Amino acid sequence: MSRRLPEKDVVIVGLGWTGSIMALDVSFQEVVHSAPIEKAEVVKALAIRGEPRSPELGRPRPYPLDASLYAAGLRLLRSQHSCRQRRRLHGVPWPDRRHAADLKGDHAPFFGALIFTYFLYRITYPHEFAEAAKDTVLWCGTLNFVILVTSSLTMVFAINAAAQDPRPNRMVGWLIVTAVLGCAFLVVKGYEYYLDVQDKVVPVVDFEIKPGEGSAGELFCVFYWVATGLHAIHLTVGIGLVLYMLLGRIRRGRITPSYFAPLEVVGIYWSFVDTVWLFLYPCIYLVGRS
Amino acid sequence: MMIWPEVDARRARALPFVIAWIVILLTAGVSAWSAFLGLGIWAPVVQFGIAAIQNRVR
Repeated sequence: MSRRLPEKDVVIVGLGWTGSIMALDVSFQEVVHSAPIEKAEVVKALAIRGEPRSPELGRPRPYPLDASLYAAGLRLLRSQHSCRQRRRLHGVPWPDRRHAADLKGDHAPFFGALIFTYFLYRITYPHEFAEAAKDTVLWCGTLNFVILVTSSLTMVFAINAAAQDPRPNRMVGWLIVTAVLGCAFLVVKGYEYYLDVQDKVVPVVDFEIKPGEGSAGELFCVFYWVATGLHAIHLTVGIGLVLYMLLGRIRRGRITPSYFAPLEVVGIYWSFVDTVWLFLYPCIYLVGRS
Repeated sequence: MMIWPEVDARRARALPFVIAWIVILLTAGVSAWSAFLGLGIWAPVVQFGIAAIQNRVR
């Protein structure tokens, strides 16, 4: 079902995988649309956005990202509902690979909408974003990239060990390494946050506008904190799932070469968290370095 | 890495994953290097292109 968009001053702020689009009033006060809309209307809305706007509407708004979160939340709730419904109707036990694919698909719009919003603003305020991005700590982001990609490798080794080796020792070893690497990521991220607080780049709480940034610099910082914070929460959940596998299922002998789907699902989730960082890294750390 | 459902973990070998891991790290290095080249508007295109390749390699 489609709904008509308002005639003017509409910004598309999030684009879901299934074509559901989130649009907000430019004032960012009121959500005006969250249902799927027709392609023609999207084109029209984008065209409207290109029209000259009043100076007031042209000012950067510091808190547009709530719209992305709202869109992602809606998508998540809807898919969780359909997942439960399918389980009830077809009696599919959890987890199976289809649910794993759902899990990945559900969370993709979460960050997809954020990155989409980010690019809209990066195109609008390129110099301000470049200046603000210089405050990020490149070595922390790069180190975390290496840690996370390596943890994905160890997770794969754990799954392969679960599938090929009837003894759990090798699988347990790789899972412990994975959890430790996940914790290492959070430690580095925490240290980076500490540096950010020292540098006064915490939007709302303690933000100091630096020369060249303008107020749009705060927009970048909002994106930085929301995106990395959400990612850290997802990673923490991933570490919890790995620990659950170690202390729950594996200890009770429920992961065997004949049935290791739960571990595979955790691996797919871990892979998703890793994927998000692949895209956040250039968005956050590589802007404005030249 | 490469744990999409179509990869059968029962027959998977370690070497392809290690190669994929090395490729991802090397391309990340290229991506970081490109940030310092002054590519202007092409920088995000190159960096996101590399991220897409990395995602595919996984």
